[in-house]
Amino acid sequence: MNNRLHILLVLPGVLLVVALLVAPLFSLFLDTIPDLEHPFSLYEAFLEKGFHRKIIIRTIRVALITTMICVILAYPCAFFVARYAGRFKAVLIVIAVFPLLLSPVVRSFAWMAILGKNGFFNDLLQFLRIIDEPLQMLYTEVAVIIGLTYLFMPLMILPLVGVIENIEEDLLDSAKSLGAKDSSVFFQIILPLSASGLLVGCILVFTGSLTAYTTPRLLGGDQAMTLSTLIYQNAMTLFEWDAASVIAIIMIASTILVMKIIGSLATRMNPDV
Amino acid sequence: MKRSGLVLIFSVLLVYIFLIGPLVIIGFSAFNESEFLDFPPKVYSFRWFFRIFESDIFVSAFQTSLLISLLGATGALLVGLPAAYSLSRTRAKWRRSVLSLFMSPVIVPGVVLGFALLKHVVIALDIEVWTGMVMGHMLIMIPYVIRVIVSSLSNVPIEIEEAAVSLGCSNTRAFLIVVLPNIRSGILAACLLAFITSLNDVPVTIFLTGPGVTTLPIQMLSYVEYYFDPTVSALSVLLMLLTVTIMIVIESTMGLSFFTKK
Amino acid sequence: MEFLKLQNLTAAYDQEIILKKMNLEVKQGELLSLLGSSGCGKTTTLRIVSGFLKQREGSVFLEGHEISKTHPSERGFGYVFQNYALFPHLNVEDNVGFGLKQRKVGREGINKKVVEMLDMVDLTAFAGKRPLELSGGQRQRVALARALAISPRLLLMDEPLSNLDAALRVKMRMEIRRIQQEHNITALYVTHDQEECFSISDRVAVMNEGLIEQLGTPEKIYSSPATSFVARFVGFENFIHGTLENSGKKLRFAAEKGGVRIPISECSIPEQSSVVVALRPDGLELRASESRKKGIPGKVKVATYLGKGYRHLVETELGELIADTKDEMFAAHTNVIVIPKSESMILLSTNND
Repeated sequence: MNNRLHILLVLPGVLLVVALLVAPLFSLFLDTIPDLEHPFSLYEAFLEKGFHRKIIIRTIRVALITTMICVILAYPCAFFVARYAGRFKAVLIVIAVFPLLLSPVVRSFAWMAILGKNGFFNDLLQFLRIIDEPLQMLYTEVAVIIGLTYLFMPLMILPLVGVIENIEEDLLDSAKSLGAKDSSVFFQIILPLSASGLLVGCILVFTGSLTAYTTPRLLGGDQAMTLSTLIYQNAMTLFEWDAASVIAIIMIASTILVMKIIGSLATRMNPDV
Repeated sequence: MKRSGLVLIFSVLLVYIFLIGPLVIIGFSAFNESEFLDFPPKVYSFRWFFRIFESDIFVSAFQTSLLISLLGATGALLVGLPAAYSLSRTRAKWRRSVLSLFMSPVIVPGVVLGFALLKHVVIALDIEVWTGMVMGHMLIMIPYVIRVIVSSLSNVPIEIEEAAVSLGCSNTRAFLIVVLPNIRSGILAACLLAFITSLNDVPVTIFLTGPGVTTLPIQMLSYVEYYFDPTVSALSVLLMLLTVTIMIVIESTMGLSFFTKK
Repeated sequence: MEFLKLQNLTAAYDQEIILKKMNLEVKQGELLSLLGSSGCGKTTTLRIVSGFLKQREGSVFLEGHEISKTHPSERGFGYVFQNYALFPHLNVEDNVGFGLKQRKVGREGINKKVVEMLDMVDLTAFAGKRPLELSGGQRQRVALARALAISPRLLLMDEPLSNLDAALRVKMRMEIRRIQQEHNITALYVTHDQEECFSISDRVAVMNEGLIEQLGTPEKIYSSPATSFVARFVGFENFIHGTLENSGKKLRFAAEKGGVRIPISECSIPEQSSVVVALRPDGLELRASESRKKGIPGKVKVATYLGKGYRHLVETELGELIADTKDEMFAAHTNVIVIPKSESMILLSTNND
């Protein structure tokens, strides 16, 4: 009712976030610009190392693959849950939500137990006599991808379920009454209308995979590093704070970039989003 | 339709086995007598659960986690409740920007947040490890507090406050006796959600830990990297039980459909 | 002295002006309605009187005292919201007694009044129920009882019946009127439903775009609307443009097209001015074109059955006219003659448009 009062109420929160997030990030950004003559010198120094470039490419690659796997697996699954699950819908949603509330340490550790030399998969494969000796599955890029897919699958399923649920049955009925086959109904009506949920899921999974820390650390170790584990190494082990700051800015810039790109894709497909 | 029906069911089964399977496996290994994480266990025992309490590291780490999350949640609530109220009632032009600002800790990568906080707050301002940790956790909890309470307040339209005022309450009193009781469950859900997020956090926390200030996930992380045994499985089982309990509370207050909304 | 006086009220949201120097006086004990479609400013007026909205200019006087500076919690007005705004966490009893509790009335006093109020709205059996368990009509009655429990000096009602179904609306409006008259409560009532408004009001203010187009008793407004906006609101659906002529001592209306001339008995509008003749659908007679009576020739576009008669959409040189008949129906594509009944005509000058 009173604009001044409203401003007063948000002020403490705003100050807190500015002091703990905006200001430090801005300072971090300034750290990466040593002087105005050579503003990008630190970035150049960082990108010169092939090791660093490799990690950047790996991080992006891992995030892309994870997102694609999630899309392919989550879409039919979400479709089923949203439309056909009936009595089980609530249960299925709960099962999908549950892992999200668990620590990423627990979730990554589970895959260590499965992919390790003495783990579930190796035991199984040896038991079935498919291999004689245990395979090295941990500390590889594949392990990281599996771990990240496990971590983020619910984040792709849930927005999709939400958006598919909202497609009115009437829309599908009227399409069928106008002569559309099932596949047409899917591609021409369901897919475009669920695009917004799909894109939300993609943003969450991609940016999440890009910036995750625990999973790459436990499942990738030092052999398959990503930007997150690299920043920790630089900051806390090597004390290369310049490099760490550069990585931080790269990470945040790529996150925002991805969100803008996917976001504008979303608005282009469905202007109401 | 039959063929596509089969595809659907197959993919659902695949995904859900994928989601639950690993948790079941560690569940079993937690009760496994032998040290190797083999499946299925040949002998069952509780020894790994006892192991948790033998040494002090996990118990004290859990206590530290609890304390930090509680303090952080209190702070986030103190700051977030009035902000959420203001955001849900105002029609001012700054509403959107301020809301985005409050949501930003979710968008910024955890490691970046942690590093920035370490470098430019804890070290630059020479703040104690404890304080830095609590501040960091407050920061990551604020988006959840605000989002849930704003959503909760949308069910309490401003007319209800106006009705109370027309019947003789001052604005503050109207809020206290007519709005607050109706968002109680929302506040609880917000706190629980924020609490879990803070309890499980690794990327921000790992930059802010110091001697004597270690949270449970960090402790588990370092343990796993040195001793690869089912103690962590047992801890995971306990954490899963805790999570299930919290989920039950959230469901009975707010309903889990909250997670499928955008 | 008038009980409530609104003087030169101007209100705006950002750049949009909602009320333009509105003036209104409400007498003690009367039920005055603000009638209009959405956006006309009627709810804004109510919110200014209640204190929930601050006017940009103008004053509000209650029994001679300016109350604009008084906080809404201290004005002692009962407000009934469109969506009832019942407190979801309190039961019916506690909702109704809420205002008394704020006034620090003792437990006994509250109980007594609550029982009285619930009895008045016939909800005694529902005292312990929560709003969620009540139907729309029941919630509406609780909202009314809650507002009346504080013995308000003024009752403000914002479209209290618009969320109820038709039959309930009719029943409830009579209840509201009965209670208002029995207790001689001054009430300001906002609605967009003309029939509801006319059936319960002592006076009506028809509003359009922030201004009062006509203020008067329902009978006056119904029979003599002052502008075409008001006329449309009270059921005039035909508007024929033309001029006022004087041939000797006789005053005549000449339609702009078609050569129709109708004698007028008397009117206050100066001659030679352009006017609009307004007619209700039952103010037009229909005859088959063969009858060769004097009137406006036309062709029936659509004829529908209303139960109490037939309604015809007739295409004529003067535009589309709507004419009702009681027993005889003229099918579509029939050529007819439309005859305006002079006793049913209203003349409006065009500067009132």
